[in-house]
Amino acid sequence: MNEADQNFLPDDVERLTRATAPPDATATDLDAETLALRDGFLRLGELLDQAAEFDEAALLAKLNHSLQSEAPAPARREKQKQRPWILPASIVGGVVAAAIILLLCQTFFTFDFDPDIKPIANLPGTKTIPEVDSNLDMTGFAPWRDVLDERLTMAQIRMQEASHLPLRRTSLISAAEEMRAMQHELNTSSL
Amino acid sequence: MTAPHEENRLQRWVREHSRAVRGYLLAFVRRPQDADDLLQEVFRKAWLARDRYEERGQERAYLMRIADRLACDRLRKKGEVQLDDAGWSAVEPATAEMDPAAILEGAEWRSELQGALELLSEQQRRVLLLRYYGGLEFAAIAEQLSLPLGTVLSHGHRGLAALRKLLTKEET
Repeated sequence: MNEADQNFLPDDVERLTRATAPPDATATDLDAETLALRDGFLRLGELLDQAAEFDEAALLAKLNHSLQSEAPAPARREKQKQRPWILPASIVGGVVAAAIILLLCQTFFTFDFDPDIKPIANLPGTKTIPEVDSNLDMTGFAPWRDVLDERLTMAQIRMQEASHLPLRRTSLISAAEEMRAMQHELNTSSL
Repeated sequence: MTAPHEENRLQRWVREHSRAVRGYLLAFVRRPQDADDLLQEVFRKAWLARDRYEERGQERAYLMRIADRLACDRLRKKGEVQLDDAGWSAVEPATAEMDPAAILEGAEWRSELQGALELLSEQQRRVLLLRYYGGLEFAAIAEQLSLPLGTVLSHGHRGLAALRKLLTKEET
């Protein structure tokens, strides 16, 4: 309560309510005091009413134009209201999808990685291996037909084939073993 | 807003309530152009949130609440505006320019309205005009203004007393 507050008795409230009744309400049995208050109230309203003339049709046209551009928003809300299950279903779907992806990752992408294996290309003195694919014509390698070259080429073919297939732990391990054996041979005999 | 019955409803809102809402807005912004802009905004906001209104009840009270909030926001941004000839000339009849008596009458009316509005504080104006145009009960006005009921009654009483003095002065 601030300093403007007063203690209003029920009679005061009643008087104030009657003095400020809507303009179209019939005011009967008003005492002189209430009538005087009501006159001031109605006069203020009349003065404002005189200024309230305006073009309703123009307002309506502007409103229609303005609201038409905003129509999709409530329609969307309405549509969403009709499907209250959409949000929980999306969340559950997301969780299930994440679980499946996690399971697949664990199944196919865990293999033993040996950090000691170095790429053959980085070894000093290694010949450059021609690029091959699964349809490699081996006769093209006739001038270099030595055992090590052939084994290297076969190993590369196997690696390339393996890269086209889904990763399998066993094939990668055997390929790695073979590469390691060849590396050993390179280090000991060929070089 | 595509259904015909919805269009009819908006038309009815405008027909039945736009003058009252505009009168309320004019008492605050005091310029017809500003009042018209705000009036459109009031109806736009009211229409977009009409679902909420349907839970609350009376259309007029609903519109007046929005008008009150927008008018107060505008006043806080722009400050109190005084009546001036340029602002009010738009609401005078077109023939007023040709008729000296009408010009005088318009000037008197403007002066009286200016005097009445200046007599009232912002809160007194809100209380009396929410009652006049919105027909809100004092308890509802107290809720709208976030004031205790006693304070609202006090504003109403003091505002009426001030207006009464204005009338008495004019009569003498």
